[in-house]
Amino acid sequence: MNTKGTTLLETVLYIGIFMIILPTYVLFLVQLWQSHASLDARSRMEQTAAMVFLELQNSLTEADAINVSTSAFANDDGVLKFLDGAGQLVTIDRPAVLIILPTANQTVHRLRMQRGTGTAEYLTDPEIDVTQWRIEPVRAGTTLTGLRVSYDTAMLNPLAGVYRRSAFTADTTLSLSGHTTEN
Amino acid sequence: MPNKKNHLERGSLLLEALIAIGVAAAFMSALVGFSIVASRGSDRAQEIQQALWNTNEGLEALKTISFAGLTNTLTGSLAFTAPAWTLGTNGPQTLPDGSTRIVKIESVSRDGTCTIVSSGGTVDPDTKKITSAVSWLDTAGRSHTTTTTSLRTNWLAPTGSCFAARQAGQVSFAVNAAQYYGGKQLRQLYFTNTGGSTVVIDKITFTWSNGSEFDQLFIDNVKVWSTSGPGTPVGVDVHSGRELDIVNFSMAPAQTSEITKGQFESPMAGTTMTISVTFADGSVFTSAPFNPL
Repeated sequence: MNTKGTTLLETVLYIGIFMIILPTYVLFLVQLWQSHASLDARSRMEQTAAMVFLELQNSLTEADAINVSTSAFANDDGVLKFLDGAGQLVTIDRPAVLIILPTANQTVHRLRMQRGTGTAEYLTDPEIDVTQWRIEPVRAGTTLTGLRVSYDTAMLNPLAGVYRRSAFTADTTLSLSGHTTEN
Repeated sequence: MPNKKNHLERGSLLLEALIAIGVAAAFMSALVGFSIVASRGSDRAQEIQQALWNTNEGLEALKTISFAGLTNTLTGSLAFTAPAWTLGTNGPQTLPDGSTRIVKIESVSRDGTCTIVSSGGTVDPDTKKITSAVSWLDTAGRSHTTTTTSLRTNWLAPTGSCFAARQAGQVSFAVNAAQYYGGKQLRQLYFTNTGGSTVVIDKITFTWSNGSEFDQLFIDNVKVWSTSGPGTPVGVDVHSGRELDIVNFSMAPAQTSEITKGQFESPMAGTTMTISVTFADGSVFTSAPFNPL
């Protein structure tokens, strides 16, 4: 009887200690998971931004002219228009796109590029909302020498969880080649 | 004996519980430690990514500033006031994310063949080395720096010799109006110096599609070569393809000159010609075949 009683006491003690440790540990794990989820989303947006700017840099390097008069500059809903090396009009804008969700449909803005009369292609995926696409001309004197771009993104459906509450901002400048003019 | 046995069993159970707790604690600690290390790794990757954005922005901003605006500095800073980036000298500057950025503008030296050299040579007035460096402290207080470097060239208005336009490249040639006057005298070939500096014509070679010989060459009514001089060769029969070393003929910027007389011995009607012009810097222009009227 003594043996059983002592073993029960020890077991209760054992459980008690775990009950103290476990919530702290679980809380830590939850926070860690949230942090990783946030990082994962941010990483995804960063990779998308890197690809967007790589595409933009490549296209602008061979651009013949920036269509300053028909682009929408200094506007969070900017539109960039330029002529590529083949003389085709390239347009990059951020149209609103309706995303169908089980709960309630949502609208996101996606970055889109259209070259000539070809099919427009999205540069960002449907889960990333481009909240700002702002372009400003950069000049040396009166000569257009670059474009300053503010590109802000957030994940779709931000109320759904930590993963969805991530955001990413990229402000950078893209210099233009010497042969690129403006019209 | 039973009492001793019971005592031993009680002791063993307590020990097992303590060992279990100890093992569990060690396991949890290892897991927590691993998670913290992984988390720091992710943080660091993000810091590096952000630093690269800032570094690249610095370099791109320097590329948008006019070449004349790139004054040498080792403590440069950048400010954007729409629509231009301006270069200051109060770097390093603190960026919104807490990191610091410094930009540098340095002269570049080249040797006699215009190859960049790290020591010796002469300073090239048409080239600048531009550098952008971003530094930050990580969560452990350690310092990190990313640096990127490029070259800017004053290709638009070079003042040195390494980027000066080749003379042949700044002269336009018009051969469409060429005519044989009297059947033997080539006229109305025009050269225009479209560059910003004087060019000098050193040698001229004509080719033509019959067996005639060439006797004299005048540019803007000035004799620059003939079989009896000036120029060389002298005293020989000049057939198609023979190079004529003429009296050097200079053309100022915007000047248009004309071959006012290219005298052949025999009728030239219906022949096809080409002209190659060698300039004082060694550059050569060669026309496509043409048929003077």
